[in-house]
Amino acid sequence: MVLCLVAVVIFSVLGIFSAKYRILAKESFKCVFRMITFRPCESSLEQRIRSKITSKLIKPFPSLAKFTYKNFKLLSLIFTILLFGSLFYTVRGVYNLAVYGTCDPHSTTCIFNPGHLHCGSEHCLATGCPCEEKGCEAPDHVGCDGNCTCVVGTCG
Amino acid sequence: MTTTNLEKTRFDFPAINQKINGRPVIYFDNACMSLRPKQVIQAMNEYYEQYPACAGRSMHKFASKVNEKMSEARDIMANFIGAKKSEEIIFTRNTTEGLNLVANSLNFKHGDVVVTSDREHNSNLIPWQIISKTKKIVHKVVRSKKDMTFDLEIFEKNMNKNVKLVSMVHTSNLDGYTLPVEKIIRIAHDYGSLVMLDCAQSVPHKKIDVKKLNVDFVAFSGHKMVGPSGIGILYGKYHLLEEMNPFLVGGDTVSNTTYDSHTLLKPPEKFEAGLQNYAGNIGLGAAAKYLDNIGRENIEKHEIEINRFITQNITDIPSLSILGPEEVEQRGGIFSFNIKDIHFHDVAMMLDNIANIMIRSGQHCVHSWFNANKIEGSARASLYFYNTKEEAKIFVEKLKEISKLR
Repeated sequence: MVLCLVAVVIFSVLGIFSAKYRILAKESFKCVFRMITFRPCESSLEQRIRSKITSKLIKPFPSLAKFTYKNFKLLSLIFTILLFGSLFYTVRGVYNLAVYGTCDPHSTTCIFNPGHLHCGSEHCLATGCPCEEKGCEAPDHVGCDGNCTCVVGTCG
Repeated sequence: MTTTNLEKTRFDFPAINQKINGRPVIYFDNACMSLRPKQVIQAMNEYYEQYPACAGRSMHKFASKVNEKMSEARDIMANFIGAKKSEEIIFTRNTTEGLNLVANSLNFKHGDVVVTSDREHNSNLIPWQIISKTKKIVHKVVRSKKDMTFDLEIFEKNMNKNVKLVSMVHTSNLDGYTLPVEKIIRIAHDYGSLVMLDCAQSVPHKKIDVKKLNVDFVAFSGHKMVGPSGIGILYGKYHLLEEMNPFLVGGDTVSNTTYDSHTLLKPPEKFEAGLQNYAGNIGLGAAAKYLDNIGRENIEKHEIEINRFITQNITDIPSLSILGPEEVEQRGGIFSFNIKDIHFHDVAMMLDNIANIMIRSGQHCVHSWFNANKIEGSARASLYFYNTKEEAKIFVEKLKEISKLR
């Protein structure tokens, strides 16, 4: 039942491209709907997914198949938490990108950070920080630190 | 059946000669639906390609050919079950329709009793539940013994002069058990009751002779006997059919009508309302011929042999329990089972995923029995003459793999 939460998201996206997944998306949505209205899910989707995964593992990894089959509820709960966790970070990143021009203003590792990507130390020495070029000032604070990495609040 | 004959037979079935994901198909869901040989498909195609017209209405060449083929199919079906005459054969959609026809056409009165067994398919249960409300009849259920065999003593205790009809399954789709119908019919007739048998699971697998059995009504389906789906047979003793009023009326059931009256035709026509499934009827005739060529005694023997092989080879799976009587002979071609801690639907889906082994799982339309016995359901492998020992070997092997998941 918990897995339906993951399934509705994944199959809805896949459903954009294939009718086969639209049917599964509908089925998982019905299950989620029943779940949020405090009724038992009537779909066998979770059971079908469990059987499919177990079947793939049963020959090459019998112990793993047994573990998956017996702990499927727990595994699906973990995957659900992981999915919603990553969804949260994705939405936050998109928001930051739209507002601050970087998906994570506190980090130097965001690949969607144009300032960081193009702001290597050599580039920085030659051209100065791109934020300075834009004339950024506190408190609008998209600036550069000493390593020429664009950050919030250290402009100038 | 010899191996050579069996191989030849398998060649007739296109569905088992294909591969899915590079693996052969192992079809063990014959109690639900059997596969069709080329001969049946061809007979149906011939109708659509060469004479696709109505029977009993038009006068042209196509119509005459359909008339001829329909009458031939009816004769074959009468012969197939040993009916006295072709007019005792009514074409229906399936067993369900046959049972409903009798339930709705017999002249039941307030207080009449209908007796069924405790392992009836919903088709032989719901009609009686409804009629017991609308016509105020009494529906009695005979519970099986602990070993899941029929309790003749309890049955006889339930019999009295008010029992109008004993309506029972001949071979159960639940576990393959065949009820002692000869004794049941004899006892029922002693009390002046009629007997109807649901032969959906018996006619395709064993020789049935309605004359010898002295049974009053028999219903069965085409799709379980290598015939087309959407076609079935209701057999009834002619004098009983004559007395009954039709369940459905309309085109081809009457010889004449005025604005306020009609004259019904004689059986079987009066029960075959509307345009018929001609291709289906002709295909069913071809299916009966096909089964007669193989011989139903051979079919029964072959199925028991494979079921015995499976039963003997699953003994080292302690978590597996078989539904039904212990003796293989009493379970025919049906192997109904559960593996402890592994859901029956999971077993069925995994067999399909791992090795294209197609079985059924659930309550097999016998919900009432499962509910009464507090069993959630079961997985069911059902065999037919085209199944082989090699297939059974793979089935057992995969069951062993699955049983290790618990």
